[in-house]
Amino acid sequence: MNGGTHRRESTLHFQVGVVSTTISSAVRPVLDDYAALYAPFRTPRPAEGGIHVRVERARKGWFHRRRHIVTVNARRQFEPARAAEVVPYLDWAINWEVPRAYPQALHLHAASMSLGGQGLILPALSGSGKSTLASGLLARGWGYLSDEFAIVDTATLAVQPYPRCICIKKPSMPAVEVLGLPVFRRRYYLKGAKGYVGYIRATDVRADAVSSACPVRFIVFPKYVRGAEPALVPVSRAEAALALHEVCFNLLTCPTPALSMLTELVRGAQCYRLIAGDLERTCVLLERLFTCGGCQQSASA
Amino acid sequence: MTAALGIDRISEARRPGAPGDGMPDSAGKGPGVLKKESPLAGSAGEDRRPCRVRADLVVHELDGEALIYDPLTADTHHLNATACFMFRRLQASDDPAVLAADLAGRYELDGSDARAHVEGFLAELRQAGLIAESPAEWRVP
Repeated sequence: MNGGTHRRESTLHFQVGVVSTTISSAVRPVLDDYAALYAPFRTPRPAEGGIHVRVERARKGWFHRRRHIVTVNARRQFEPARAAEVVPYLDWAINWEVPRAYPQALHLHAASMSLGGQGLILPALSGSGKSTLASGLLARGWGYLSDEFAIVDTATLAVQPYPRCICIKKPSMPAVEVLGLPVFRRRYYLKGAKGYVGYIRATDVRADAVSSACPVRFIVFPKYVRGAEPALVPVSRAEAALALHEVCFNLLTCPTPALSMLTELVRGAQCYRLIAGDLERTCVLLERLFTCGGCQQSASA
Repeated sequence: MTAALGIDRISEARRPGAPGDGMPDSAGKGPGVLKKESPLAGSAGEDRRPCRVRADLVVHELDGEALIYDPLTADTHHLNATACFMFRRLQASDDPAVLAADLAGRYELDGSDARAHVEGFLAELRQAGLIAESPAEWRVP
């Protein structure tokens, strides 16, 4: 029994790529929504060492509106107030826990995709267009690994799949809808400062859209510039390693080995900065980069 | 925290035979040249203090450039090819004059230019806390 509700708690298990999660809640709309969103990844049993998230409804007080409490592995993480915020915060809470739950991997803030068995990681801070770019590439037949994480295996340096639903901000939605990508239930959720967001399930685009682990061949740092001509600018591997260092989630827990690993990762890849403009032209540019092995530097070339 | 040292701005293009090789102009403001003026360069007050990079730094070389991890501050620094060359020389020698001579030889600089670059580089390394000033600090702890 949870605060403010007398419904019985239900528990569901998911295996999203390499990330195992268990969600417990008595708040049926939240659980149903999340279960529908991640239906392709439902599993009958929990995996050992996975992430356990609990969503509870807090009692309405004299001074507070009714709110939800999102707890991850027994730590209180978020307290979203509005119903439309709960699923995004639940998803977000899992993301926060991923680097802690899987410390044996290197976790980079990056979208990761694949083409022809070769991996592309797009490391960038929030608001740089990672998810939009991942959607665009997904629509063009690329394999999907993640829109938020590049989880790099420390032994093989291969980027692992964590095919969470792609979170698209409302302003980016028209660009994505033009590509014919289906937005989950055509519903918007609220996600803090990001405002309204919608979700795209890779498996709704193609049944085989989720890529298996693959070696990282290209590391491209994207930056969306409205109206800009898409262009790729080569960067040195040392600069790339430094930039990856800035987006590494678990560097502080193991700085020396993580830096060695970043160095090894860039050694096997070609590195570029990307000025991303029009989505389709930017995707074409990245595709040419893959097909010609790294010589293409502008969309008009 | 990550940082690219200012020495990063010395361009490898100045190396003879490198693509776009451009020697500095008379004002010392050629492409990619560190513009910091050093009052000590080539003067009677030249800084000849012996110095060497700290032995506990973790250095990763990549295509002639380097990443340096400082375990004391958890900062990471990036050195371009020229800075990496000087850093490696500084690991072997504690004399800035030797370093300036090496730099002058490699990049065909005149003595005062080379000394100015070395002074600027050492100043930035000191500011970043990467220099061990006394021989006692040169040894690995």
